[in-house]
Amino acid sequence: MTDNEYRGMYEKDPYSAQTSLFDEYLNYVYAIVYNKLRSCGSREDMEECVGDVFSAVFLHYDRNGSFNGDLKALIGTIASRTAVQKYRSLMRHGNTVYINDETGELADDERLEEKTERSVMQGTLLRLIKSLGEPDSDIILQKYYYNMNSIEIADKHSMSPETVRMRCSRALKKLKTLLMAEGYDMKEGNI
Amino acid sequence: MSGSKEIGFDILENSDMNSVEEIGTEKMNIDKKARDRMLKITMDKYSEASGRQVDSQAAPEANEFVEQVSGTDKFQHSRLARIIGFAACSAAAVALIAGGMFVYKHNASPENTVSDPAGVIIITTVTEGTTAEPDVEEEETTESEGLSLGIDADFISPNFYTVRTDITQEELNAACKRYLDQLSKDRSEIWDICYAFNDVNHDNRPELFIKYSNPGVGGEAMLVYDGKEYKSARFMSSVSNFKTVENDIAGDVINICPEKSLVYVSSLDRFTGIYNSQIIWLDKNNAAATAFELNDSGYYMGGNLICRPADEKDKKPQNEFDAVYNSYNWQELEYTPYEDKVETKIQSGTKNGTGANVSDDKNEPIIKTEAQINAETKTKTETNTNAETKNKTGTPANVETKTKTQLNDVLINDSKFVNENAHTNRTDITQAELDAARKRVKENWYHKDDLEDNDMKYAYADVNDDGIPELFIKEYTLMHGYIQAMLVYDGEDYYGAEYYIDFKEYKHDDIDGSYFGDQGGNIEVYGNIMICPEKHLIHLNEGGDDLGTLLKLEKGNIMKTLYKYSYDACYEGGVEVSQNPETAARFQAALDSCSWQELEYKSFE
Repeated sequence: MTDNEYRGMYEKDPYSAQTSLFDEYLNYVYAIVYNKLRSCGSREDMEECVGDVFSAVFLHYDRNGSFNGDLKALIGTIASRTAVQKYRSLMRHGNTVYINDETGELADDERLEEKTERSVMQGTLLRLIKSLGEPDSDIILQKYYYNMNSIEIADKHSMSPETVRMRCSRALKKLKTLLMAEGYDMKEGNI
Repeated sequence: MSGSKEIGFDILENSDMNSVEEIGTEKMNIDKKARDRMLKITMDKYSEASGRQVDSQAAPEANEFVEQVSGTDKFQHSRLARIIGFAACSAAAVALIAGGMFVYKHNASPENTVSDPAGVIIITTVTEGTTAEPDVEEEETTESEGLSLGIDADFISPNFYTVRTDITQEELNAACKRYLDQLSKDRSEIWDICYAFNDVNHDNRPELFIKYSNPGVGGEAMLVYDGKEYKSARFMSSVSNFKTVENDIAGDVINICPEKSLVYVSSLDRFTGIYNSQIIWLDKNNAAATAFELNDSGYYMGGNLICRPADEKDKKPQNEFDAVYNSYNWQELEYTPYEDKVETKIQSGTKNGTGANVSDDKNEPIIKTEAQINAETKTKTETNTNAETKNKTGTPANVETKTKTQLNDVLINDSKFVNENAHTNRTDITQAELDAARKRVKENWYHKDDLEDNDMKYAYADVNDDGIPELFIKEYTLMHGYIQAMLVYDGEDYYGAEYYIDFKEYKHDDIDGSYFGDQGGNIEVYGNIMICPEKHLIHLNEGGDDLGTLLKLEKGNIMKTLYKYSYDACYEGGVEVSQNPETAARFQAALDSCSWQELEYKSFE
């Protein structure tokens, strides 16, 4: 959906336009939110955050009369910032003081080095997961990153849960081997 | 690897935007209810922030989301005419049951009301068409002082039932026998089949329970009578607080509590090490209501998530479920061996010519006729052996094979599902070269666990008659019993062969549930592989209700998927066909038209 398409729809029926935009970008927003809140938020927290994101997107349009360019980039930015705010809120409620803001992180050389290393590791893990091929790469991410159980995964892939477990077991073994070849050990706690 | 850096999936958190898209935009599981909830949250927030009046009711099912009550999600259902209400009267799980009320509505009639004088569970039906909603809500609020849960029809599975009142035990025995005969024929991998009758729901139509062993694990299942046959009973299982799936009432263990019309079914998830357990209430019309459930996503009561595990070691959900389980008087079923009974009658000479019941014990299947026994002896003696000793049609594989020439024309020979496997045009390949490649397969085999890498064997067979034998591997695994794999030679190494299937809108190169690139086998079956070199055919038989997959391997290692008949998808010539007896019969006829051979496996050493 482009800025103009949204405007056209909005002029005819604001609610339909908003619902269409919501449906088109729900997965994208949810993925961003999940990526930020995975370790500290419940499913309800994430759904709440998704609501915050789309509400902010709709308000942005109301204020500006357009999205000014790349709609997806705008939604991604709003989603990312909203999720970070939610993360900080959740961490505070969890009796953990959130001390680093984004500026502080970037100003610190050591943290920059850490971030770089983390980025390399992310890239490596993603590359190796991708090398497992479909549908195993999907299944591995759904099982170990999205914490979906085998019944949910089976339903999504039209497989039996037994098949999912078997594929998952095999793919994980292969992933471990591939990681070892790259000089990494799989964290046991993450399996 | 010592000194290596540790890496886990949490490293993917806070990825850059491109990675986030790669990780998951299309991988998450956002069902319609979740989508609707988030849309409502969005519109509420937007309305509040902008001052704009947005009709949140316009969002479908928008009123389903209700605030949490005492830490428990509660859903308000718009269609209360279909509601089950479950009210619990104490904070303690056991006491929840002890003081509970189960208000249930399904084909309501006065005789469906069961009152328990002990007050442990009271089941009351609500008359169709009454103003059930306020009554149910009122009952819940007045009877309960703690948690209050609503369950709707999503958590009931209506099962087959009959209203006939002229059913005799002889009729049930015959139905039991038919079911067990078919089971024994269809599932070549199981043995020690036993049966038991028990009228769990007191409808005077006993449920049938079966128990069997198979490679690695055993199983039990419950069936209900529909007036003609025993049919699998189903129940709704909670995947999450927002989603259910329907499953058979079957598992590693089934116990019953007839006094409360309850069935307990439990299975160990061998991957997660977590038990999937349910306590299911069965009404007089065989509808199964899932009262309590424990699985890897948490502990559920009446379909509502009560608690989820904080981590893998969190035993709270298990303990909650155990407390409920222990509050009932569970019985193990007293099974009667199916095969033994038949054999006993043969030995005692107690036979008749009609196939009707001749036993004094009404709870035992009817005895087979002499003709039936003679006809089946060959196959039945093999029934309890491992799957690899039989072919799909039940014929002892290494005893004889049969060709029904009159059925030769039933076999289709082409398919839209074609997969081109690695191959070679070399003509100078020696057996020594193939043997060396075979040894490399073993060295690189993925089952490296000491416990799993057992009894690996191999066989060569030139299925496609190209002069280069395909390699078949068989090994024993603790999890799946014997599995078999097929590999093709590409001129340098053996690689797992693949076949193509378009499986319910998700394209797979293989759907057998196991592949491991490189030199593992993509065609890998938790059962048996049979071959018919004469017609270049391969039959993957994974047992169960699955008739398997029939493949054709042409020269150039081109694999065509001719037939697939599984419990959830059937294909014929690469075209999806409906699952019905006619489809099954066509597949069976195609199988019967071929001369199937067992592979002759040898030890690697």
